[in-house]
Amino acid sequence: MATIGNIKGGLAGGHGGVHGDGHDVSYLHPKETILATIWDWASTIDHKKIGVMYLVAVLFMFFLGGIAALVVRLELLHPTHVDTVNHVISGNMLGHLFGVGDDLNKSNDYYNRAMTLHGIIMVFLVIVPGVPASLGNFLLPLMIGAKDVAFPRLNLASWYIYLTGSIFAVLAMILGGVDTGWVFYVPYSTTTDDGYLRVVWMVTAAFVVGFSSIFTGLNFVVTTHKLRAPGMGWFDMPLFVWGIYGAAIIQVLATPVIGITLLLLIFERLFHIGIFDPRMGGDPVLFQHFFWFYSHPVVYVMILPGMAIINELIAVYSRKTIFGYRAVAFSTLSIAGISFIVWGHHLFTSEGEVAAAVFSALTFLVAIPTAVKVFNWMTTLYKGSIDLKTPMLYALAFLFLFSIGGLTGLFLGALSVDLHLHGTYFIVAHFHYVMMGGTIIAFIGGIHHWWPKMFGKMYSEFWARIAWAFVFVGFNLTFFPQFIMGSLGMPRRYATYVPDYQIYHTLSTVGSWVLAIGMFLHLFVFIHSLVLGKKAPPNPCGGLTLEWTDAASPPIEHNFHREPVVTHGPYDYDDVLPPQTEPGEFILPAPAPASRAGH
Amino acid sequence: MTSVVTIGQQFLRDMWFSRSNSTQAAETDFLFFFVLWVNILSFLFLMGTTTYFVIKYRSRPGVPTQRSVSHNTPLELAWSIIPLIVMVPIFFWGFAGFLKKQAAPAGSEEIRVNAEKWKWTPVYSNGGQPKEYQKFIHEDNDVPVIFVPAGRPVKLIMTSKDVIHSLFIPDFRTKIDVTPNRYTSMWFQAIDPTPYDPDTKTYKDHYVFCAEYCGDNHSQMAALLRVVPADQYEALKADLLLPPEGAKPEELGEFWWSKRFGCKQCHTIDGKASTGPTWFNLWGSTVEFDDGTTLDLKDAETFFNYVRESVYEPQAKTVKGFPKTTMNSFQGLLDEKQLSQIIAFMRSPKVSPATAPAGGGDQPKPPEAGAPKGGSGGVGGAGGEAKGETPAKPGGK
Amino acid sequence: MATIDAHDAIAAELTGATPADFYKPAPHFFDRDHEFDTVKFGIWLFLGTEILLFSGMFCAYGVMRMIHPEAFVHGSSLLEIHWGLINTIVLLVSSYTVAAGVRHAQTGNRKWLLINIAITFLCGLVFILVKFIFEYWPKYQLGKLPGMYYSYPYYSSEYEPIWWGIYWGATGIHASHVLVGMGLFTWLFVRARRGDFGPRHYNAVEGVGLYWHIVDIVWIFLFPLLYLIH
Ligand code: HEA
Ligand code: HEA
Ligand code: CUA
Ligand SMILES: [Cu+2]
Repeated sequence: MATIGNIKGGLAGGHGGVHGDGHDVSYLHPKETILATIWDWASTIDHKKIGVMYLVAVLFMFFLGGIAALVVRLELLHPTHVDTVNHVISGNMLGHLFGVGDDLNKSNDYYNRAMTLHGIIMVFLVIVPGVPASLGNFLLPLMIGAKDVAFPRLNLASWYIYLTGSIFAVLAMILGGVDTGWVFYVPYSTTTDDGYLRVVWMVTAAFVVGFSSIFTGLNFVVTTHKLRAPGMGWFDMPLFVWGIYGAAIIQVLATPVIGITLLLLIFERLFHIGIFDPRMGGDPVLFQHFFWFYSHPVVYVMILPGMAIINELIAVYSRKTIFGYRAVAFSTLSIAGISFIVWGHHLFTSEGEVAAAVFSALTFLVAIPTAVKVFNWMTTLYKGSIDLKTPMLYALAFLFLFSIGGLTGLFLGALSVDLHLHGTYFIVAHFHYVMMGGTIIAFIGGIHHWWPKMFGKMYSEFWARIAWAFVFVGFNLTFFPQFIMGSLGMPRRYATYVPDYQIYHTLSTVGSWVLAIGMFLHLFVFIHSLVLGKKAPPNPCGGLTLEWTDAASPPIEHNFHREPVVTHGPYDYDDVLPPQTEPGEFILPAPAPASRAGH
Repeated sequence: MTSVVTIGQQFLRDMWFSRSNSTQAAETDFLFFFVLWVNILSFLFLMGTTTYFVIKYRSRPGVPTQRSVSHNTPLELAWSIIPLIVMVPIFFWGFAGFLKKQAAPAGSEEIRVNAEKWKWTPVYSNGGQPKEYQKFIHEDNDVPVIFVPAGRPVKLIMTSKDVIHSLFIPDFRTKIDVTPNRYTSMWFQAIDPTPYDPDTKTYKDHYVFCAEYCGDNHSQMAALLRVVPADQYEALKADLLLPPEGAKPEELGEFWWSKRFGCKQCHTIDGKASTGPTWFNLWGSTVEFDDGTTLDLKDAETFFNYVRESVYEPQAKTVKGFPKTTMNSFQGLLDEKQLSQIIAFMRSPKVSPATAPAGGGDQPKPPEAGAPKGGSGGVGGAGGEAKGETPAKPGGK
Repeated sequence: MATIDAHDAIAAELTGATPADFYKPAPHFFDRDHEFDTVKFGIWLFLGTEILLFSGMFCAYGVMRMIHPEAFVHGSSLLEIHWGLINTIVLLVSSYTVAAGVRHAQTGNRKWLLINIAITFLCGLVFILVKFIFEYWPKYQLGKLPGMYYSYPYYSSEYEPIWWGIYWGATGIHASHVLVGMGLFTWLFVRARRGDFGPRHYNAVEGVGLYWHIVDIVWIFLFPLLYLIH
């Protein structure tokens, strides 16, 4: 790894010195009164505070979406089923929950609303903004040695836009929710709930949140290009920054298209302009193309930041430089690039042969850069010193779950097989394995890893590991049976089903409870840490990136006491003792044999 | 050894797949298992190696990390190129299978399937519809039993009346979207006749599901598919629910209204309120539209044009008091002859007792295509009917 | 971004210099050039997203035109080319004035900067007025409205409501961008009068100028697509 020279020289004359007006204190330090503190947070342009606020909001939304998921699973445990021989009505959990008794139409409707709410919250409010806006916001400037993101006010604006969008979504929910599915397919979404504005509210929410996504992405692209500390070349950046950067590019390029799509959908719904309306000569499949032109790239917006986190976790906890740094960095860019030309693989059952063939071929192509990453992570472990702390357990869980999710994508890319699997629970299992098993797992791992840095407190390692075990087991129990029932023919978005699939649904629902226990344990571990946690040292994990080596835990308001002096690459564990750690805590490997000394 | 493999295969097959009963299913299953094995092997390689490393190189206090190289180009190329090579046959087999699922062989038995929220209505080439319905999941939910011949290609030609649906037959491993205003088709050739269980007196029918989300009862929108021996098929087909033979036009119209096109669901003939305006005494009355205009339906031609427009261009006019967007066009579903039979039904004493005797005598002739432009605001004039059975094809695919 | 300490403000009072002369970059930038480059990069990126937004609209136009060419040919023959042309000219003029404005900001010519901003604003206003008074309003009255609200009796294709959907959608989104631009010019005008801009600091003028150019360019595409190609 190239060595970064002393970057101090390059900075001469640039920044004004420390102002000496209390900027040396932790960014978490409260103001004199509570009101002042609240105002300070609400009007802050500090990327760290904005990151923390995002983190709280995203976790809250995750909680809401998770509750909706539990409701969905509860109904599917024992769905409404009228025994046509004995005329016994059984199941109908939702019917009882919402007090509509055994009115099947109504309880189906509740199910559809819960399912849609779950999908929309998880996608638009949790996983797309999730990692970049929270951890990314907090860490990106720290990792490249900057004092803030390029446009701090835009950053704050983006947070408020996100908040507005979330409020719209919650409003739509309070008004009765929508039952369109998260993909808003026309003409269903333009005709359902006729006379109500909920669908418009919900689509507006997604539209508004899109802007916050554009602004965050734009901010990060510019920050990465322009605000790197002098001397930090592209290939000296931590791979976390690469991942966030790749995702940000997709956000900037793809989100405007969903913007116009949702706008046209709103027009269609309010004014019936006819573009997507088959009755007026419009084309509903055009909407699907528009929608997936954004929503496929966006799945890589979801996964790239997850992968970004995994880079850091694997390197730190095996004390190794990431194997094939450049290949991993370039694979990020090629994933971002290819992601724009595969959207048609969601439409194999509705588009023509030629398009299907092209999209299928391109879909397989996108697996290559992913394979490169996965195998490079595997090899990074070679000859390492692997410490199974909670974040590392999460990184390993990521490898396990994400590769199952990704590999099952190959079934879906194969045309004739997809004709069977499309629209079944196989898809549901596929995307939960990549989104939940990939991104969310990485996210939770990342929160643990940077928790001491963000909040200056240690968490209980023991209980976190227990929670991890619950999550890992529960997750597989929830979603693996879904692969099987999907391939057996169970269609998705079904409020009830024939008894053939009962056993798989039962397993899945029980799994969701195990999973929920794990999640709540995590929540308690975090709360416990905030209240009673030990004070964290500046570099508890022995990291070599700037947030560990040069910043306090938690960082001060201006991030660094001194301009960071970078004298080594982000993963030079073989040659550098991590600064800010206890002496003797970490041991360097024996010097390289003479033959490879110059390496 | 081989038996272990076969048992293993058998186990995997039963785990992943419902029984297969079409010529295409076997091919799809083969590709599925090919991908499955590729996946199992790459997954075992990845996780096996990872586990080995995690155990071998676990951190032990006082034991330093070992040095190792930071990259190795041949190795990295290997794991980019090997997956690439593996994926080439997957792509080609997938594509070949896809093409086979798309193009039906000549001489297939054609069955029309009309989809609407939330039911499938099959119509055989002789105009017949299934007689047998079975309860599905819920007492109020009757789903049709569709007969198809064994060993003969069957082509389903499908269109939807409202939103997008998708016809899915798990045991045949295929599905295709059913889109409004457009025809899509799919075909299969079933192999074995469906077994009959004399104990329970039931057939082990194949499920037909709706696989594209379409609203409240999406999960109950199903049908049962029964494969019958080819030699019994024609007899069964002749025994389907057919429009009454030698019937008068108004009787046929009533059949269309109640059995085939589902007009009955929204339009009553006894004056009761429903989703759409009632047909009771419509003939001879004056309708009022939501823009305040009125139309006298007193002469046969105006009545014909009005009904015709309402069926093919439901959006053109809206009767006062009804929402604008409810009904979908029947363009391509209902032809001119059936339309005139429905109109005859509407003018019959059964539906319009008040006025029927007066107007009953003169059967209106269907006007020439495009002729009556002035009369009814004329949207229908230049548009669809010349195309007859084909719906307007906006997608151009 | 711009922060001026009290000390500088007093100095400005005494010497007659403008606040722009004391402009300091935000603290997370190394110097003014760094800030300038960064901001400019950000603005370009943002304009890229604007172009993508409109490309979505153009795609919808293309696909719909492919499916229903007759509706589009006839529909577009109903537009009055002269109004479109006038608006095109107005926007081209404003493009010139806004470019001139940036130059005057660079040379510190406050008076001409103000004049140019004002002219540009007025051009935007003329555009909007022409659009609303001579195009939207008559069409609204005649019922040449999108989709379901269409009620104009003389048409040659039953799909013309879709054409009007595209017309209103595309010009509507464009017009809203013009309105936003006018808002931005008002803001620039106020700041320019205060003397915020000068050779050392004209980021905002340049940014808004670039935005306005994009709005122009979109119109340069919309005009032939909607009005000219029959
Ligand atoms: C985080 C989100 C995410 C990610 C990363 C992916 C990754 C992939 N997805 Fe997935 N996908 C979704 C989220 C995601 N997907 C969602 C949400 C849907 C459904 C939306 C809806 O309809 O509601 C969907 C649906 C979906 C479909 C449409 C199915 C249908 O509806 O009919 C297809 C079809 O091709 C597909 C394919 C793939 C492929 C090939 C990858 C690849 O990128 C995977 C690459 C990874 C690997 C291959 C594994 C790791 C590699 C190795 C272990 C090395 C060995 C490799 C080889 C031997 C090749 N996905
Ligand atoms: C990020 C994306 C994401 C995530 C994480 C999840 C998580 C879960 N999802 Fe799903 N899901 C989707 C995205 C996601 N989902 C999408 C896009 C759809 C498609 C919708 C559609 O078809 O339109 C879908 C659909 C879907 C279905 C299919 C519905 C149908 O087709 O009819 C099911 C059914 O089992 C399901 C279940 C679950 C379960 C049990 C979880 C569980 O993993 C949830 C576990 C979480 C909790 C129990 C919450 C606990 C949280 C806290 C306590 C907060 C604090 C946490 C920390 C501090 C770490 N989801
Ligand atoms: Cu019909 Cu789902
Ligand atoms: Cu995709």
